[in-house]
Amino acid sequence: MITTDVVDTIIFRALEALNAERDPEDQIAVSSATSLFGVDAALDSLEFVSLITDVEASLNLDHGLEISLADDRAMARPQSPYATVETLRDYILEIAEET
Amino acid sequence: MELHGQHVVLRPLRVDDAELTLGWRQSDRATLLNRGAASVADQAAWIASRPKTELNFVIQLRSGRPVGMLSLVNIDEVNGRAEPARFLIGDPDSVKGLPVALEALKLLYELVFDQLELHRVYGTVVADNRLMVKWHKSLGMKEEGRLRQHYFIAGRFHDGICIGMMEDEYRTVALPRMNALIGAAAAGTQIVSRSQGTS
Amino acid sequence: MRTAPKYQGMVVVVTGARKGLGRILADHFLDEGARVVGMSRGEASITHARYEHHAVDVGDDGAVRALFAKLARSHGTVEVVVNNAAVATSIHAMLMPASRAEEMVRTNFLGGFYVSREAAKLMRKGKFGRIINIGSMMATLEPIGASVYAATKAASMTLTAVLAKEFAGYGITVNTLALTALETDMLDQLPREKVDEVVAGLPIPRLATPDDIFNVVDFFASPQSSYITAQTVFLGGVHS
Repeated sequence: MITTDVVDTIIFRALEALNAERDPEDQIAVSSATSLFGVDAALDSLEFVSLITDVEASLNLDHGLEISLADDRAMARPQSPYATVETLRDYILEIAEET
Repeated sequence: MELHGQHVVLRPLRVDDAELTLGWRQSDRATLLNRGAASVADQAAWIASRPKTELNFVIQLRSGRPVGMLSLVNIDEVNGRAEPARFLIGDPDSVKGLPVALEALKLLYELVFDQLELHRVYGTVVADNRLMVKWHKSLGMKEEGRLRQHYFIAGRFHDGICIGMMEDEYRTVALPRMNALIGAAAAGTQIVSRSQGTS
Repeated sequence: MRTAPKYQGMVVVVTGARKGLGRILADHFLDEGARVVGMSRGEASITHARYEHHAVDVGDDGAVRALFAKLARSHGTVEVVVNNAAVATSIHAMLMPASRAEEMVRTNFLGGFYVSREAAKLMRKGKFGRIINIGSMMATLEPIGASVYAATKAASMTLTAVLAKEFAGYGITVNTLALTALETDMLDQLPREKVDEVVAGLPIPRLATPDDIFNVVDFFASPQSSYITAQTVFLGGVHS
């Protein structure tokens, strides 16, 4: 059963990977409150897709969870699951529970 | 021809877009693209000389604000293939929170597979552009090969990664994923905080 | 269910943004994803990553031109402009000094004109623009004490009508939202009994709320409202 801490770590690692591609003065804050998508987001479109992809890959390869973070279910939510690290983490935990 | 999405419109690139698009290409974000024209006149001449095997678009928001560009080149109806290229978001501040890049690419794929009824899209991405490579792979493209020392950019040679996607891969992998990301991303995000002064 | 922010990707200019209705509108646009450019004679009262403030007197033609030249370089264009800056002095005509009269003409009437003119020059390139003038019920009610103030607001309405025609070919709409009163600083400048009297005579006899105002402003500003121009909406109805 995957825990909150584990999911947080996965997402944080994906953010750190993005930071490795950025200039030192232009780093994304690595925290639960970091905005992933939206008008004040820290990530651009390319980085956002990269993060989703990395997180999915890690959940699959390291934890055997074959879940898609970009499917009809994500679309049907009234609030975007991608708003922040925290909302993404909660969304992942929700899906993982049912797998 | 114009391609209309929910968030963006792709409209034909015009000669009078020369100054705007040249500025985008010359800015920092485009360092991994080939440097092309050096002046507005050169850029205008380049735009005017585009062959019939290409479709070049400016990406606009619904308000008409131009934010980027995208092309479909080497359109080959005999062999059923075409190459998405010159994909650039020139005004990143205006696209925050909007799934602009995703929808622009989706509109282009719809053109290729639904309107032109081609079989395959392909392209070459600079290997060092890791985010772009990952982007395309996560949206249906498969890595098909590597062209060694294929580009000369910023003082040295870079490999090119060959990528490609067939129609069935587009319909089963790329399209559902793009729709989900566009749909979920465009849903309401939380209210941003602001300083609470007295009014 | 919360809908996607309405003004994402847009630049919205608000005059008189430091306090009162202008401040409320600026906050609303920021909440809805806009990049907001605030203008007022004083310093900013908002701190936000997407807010920039310019201490500019809208009645100063040169300053307004300079600001929009700057905005053209930094933002390319603007999508929405709200002409809200206004000053009000309620005083019988025989006691009205020239300085007060001139200030109202400059700020309320000419200021709206200068800002609209400069904004239109940017907006026409993208063939999209939304100019929204904040008008006042005083223009039609013409209460005693508001001779010059009401005249400037009435002049703005005629300005709206002509600009709507001149700018239509560029995809720019020009509309007016007419208010009686909102609980803001401006209200404190006018005699309360007068305002109460006016409100009591409205078909819907209450003060406007911020949501009432956002409702109309968002409607005028929407990309879907491209066929709405030269209109005045009187919040609460037209006074009988």
